[in-house]
Amino acid sequence: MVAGVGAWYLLQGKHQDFARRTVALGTAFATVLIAGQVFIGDIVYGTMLKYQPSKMQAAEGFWEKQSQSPAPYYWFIVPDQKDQRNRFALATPYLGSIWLTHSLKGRVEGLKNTPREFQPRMALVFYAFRIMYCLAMLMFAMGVASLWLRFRGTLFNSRWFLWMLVFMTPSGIIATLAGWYVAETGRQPWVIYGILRTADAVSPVPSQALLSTLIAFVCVYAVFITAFLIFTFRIIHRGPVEVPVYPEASGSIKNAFRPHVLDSPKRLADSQFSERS
Amino acid sequence: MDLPLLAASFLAFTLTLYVILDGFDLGVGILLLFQSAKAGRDHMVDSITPTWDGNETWIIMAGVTLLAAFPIAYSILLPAFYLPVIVMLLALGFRGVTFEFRTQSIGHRRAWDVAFGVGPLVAALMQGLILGGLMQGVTVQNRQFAGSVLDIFRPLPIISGITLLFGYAVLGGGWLKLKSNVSVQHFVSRSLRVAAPAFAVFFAIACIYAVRIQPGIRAQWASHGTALACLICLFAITAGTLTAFSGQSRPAPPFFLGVSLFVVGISGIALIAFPKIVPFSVSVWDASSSPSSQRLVMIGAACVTPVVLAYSAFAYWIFRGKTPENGWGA
Repeated sequence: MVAGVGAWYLLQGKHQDFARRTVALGTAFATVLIAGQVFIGDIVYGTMLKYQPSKMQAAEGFWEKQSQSPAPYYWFIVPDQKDQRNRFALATPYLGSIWLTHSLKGRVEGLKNTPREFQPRMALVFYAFRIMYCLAMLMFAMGVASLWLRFRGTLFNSRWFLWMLVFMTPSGIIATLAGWYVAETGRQPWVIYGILRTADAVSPVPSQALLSTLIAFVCVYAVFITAFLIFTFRIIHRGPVEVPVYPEASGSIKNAFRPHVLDSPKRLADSQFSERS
Repeated sequence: MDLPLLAASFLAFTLTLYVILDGFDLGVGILLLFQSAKAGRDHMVDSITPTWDGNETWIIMAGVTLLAAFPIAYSILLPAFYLPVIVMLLALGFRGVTFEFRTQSIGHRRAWDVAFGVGPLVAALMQGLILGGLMQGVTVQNRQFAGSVLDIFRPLPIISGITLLFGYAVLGGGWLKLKSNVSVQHFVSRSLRVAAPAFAVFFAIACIYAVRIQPGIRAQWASHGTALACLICLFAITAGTLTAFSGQSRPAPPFFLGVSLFVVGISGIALIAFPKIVPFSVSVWDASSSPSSQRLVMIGAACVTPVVLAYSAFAYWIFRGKTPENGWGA
């Protein structure tokens, strides 16, 4: 997000100093952290395979107990839960074995290993996982590209790269949400995997009450997100200099410590903020 | 050591702190609705800006303690109070975002200020509904909630809701008397002169009505009559003193008298409820989780509580004294 906003400023030719700093910092952090994330993700994947196998079986789109060897990697499938098969699939051969089993010929376990009544809906889990995984790979690729551009010294001038950064501004948030969907839909029909079924865990609250509060949640959060987006776009549009260095009264205690930061002569010289009237 | 009793005491401690600390935040929000001057509203918000979110820590602690240490009580009370709890959370969410949004919005500042007041107003009403719902008794069969989610919309909970609204307004007014500068003092005195007597009167109505409809309260009254009578006298005297002080210029008395009112009120409620955790049906011991769970909860509480108390105290210390004219940033 940080890099995306900075890239937008660079493309618009505004706030060059600030924008260079944010793009440089944003891509540097993203490169290191996303590499770490992919590594940790791989470990978590192994753990999930052990403790919640049906989730991972659904996430990869395989139905048969053992896939063919070498296993392909599915990009797009039309799963048929009733017949327990994919009606259509688009895949890259070998890639499944390499990514999922870290070998050339490994087989991948499918959803039929889980009894039918305990299977999650494959389509939900598969696509949520695809979105998360592909975004992660894309962000990782952007990180590597940023290293290459930095090495060549053209990080701030490659317009195609900056446009990519702008388009990928919300990617981190979308990937996080998609990951959440994998975790929640992949665990079904269990609320505590293998112990308590979601259907057995419902409270005695009548469904009308649940529906009305769900509607209330949607309405209230729609107001929140609308206001948030309006304010965010306005702040980005205003740019870094005009943002009041002293927000009048925000809920954060950080502001109280701002005076020390402001006392630094560089900051004072940089900013043209006006004292609150 | 009696673990369930210890866990219940901790739960009572966190709830009391929450009611008093977030009480004055919410009270300031409620009073904001009646403040017509923009500068006055900004100043009132400034007075709670540094500490309001820390104050909300305690309701989370209380919720976690109830869930982990008394799962049976949790499984009865949450369905019983499902509607007010959800509405309260939404209202608190509204209040939370308006802290940030009102400063961002220029043209619609007034609208966000109304939201800033309506959030606490609704949250206070809902908390009062829950309290009144507890006092009128929860229908329980086989350790499960067996009533209707609409049981809460009866006279006693509604009276308690209004009572708590005035109670929070008293706390908020006391806080402003303590922390605000001259510009809003007149407004605060006027608010306190209305809110303090109203709080006492509605509290009295709620008490009398509760005794009439709930035999469980009459039973407790029979066994703890003297103690409860003492608390009622103390409440009446404190409320009278508070009303007398509300017009004066001394900053400290109204707030601390307001806090005393709440301490007395909460003691009375605790005396009536104990030893039940779901009033009049399930006791503290019957609702407990396994000793190992409760031990874990208590160890966690022993580690976390001093930290939370320390950073809260630090925040109050940093922002001691009167709120500056232009907020804490300037």
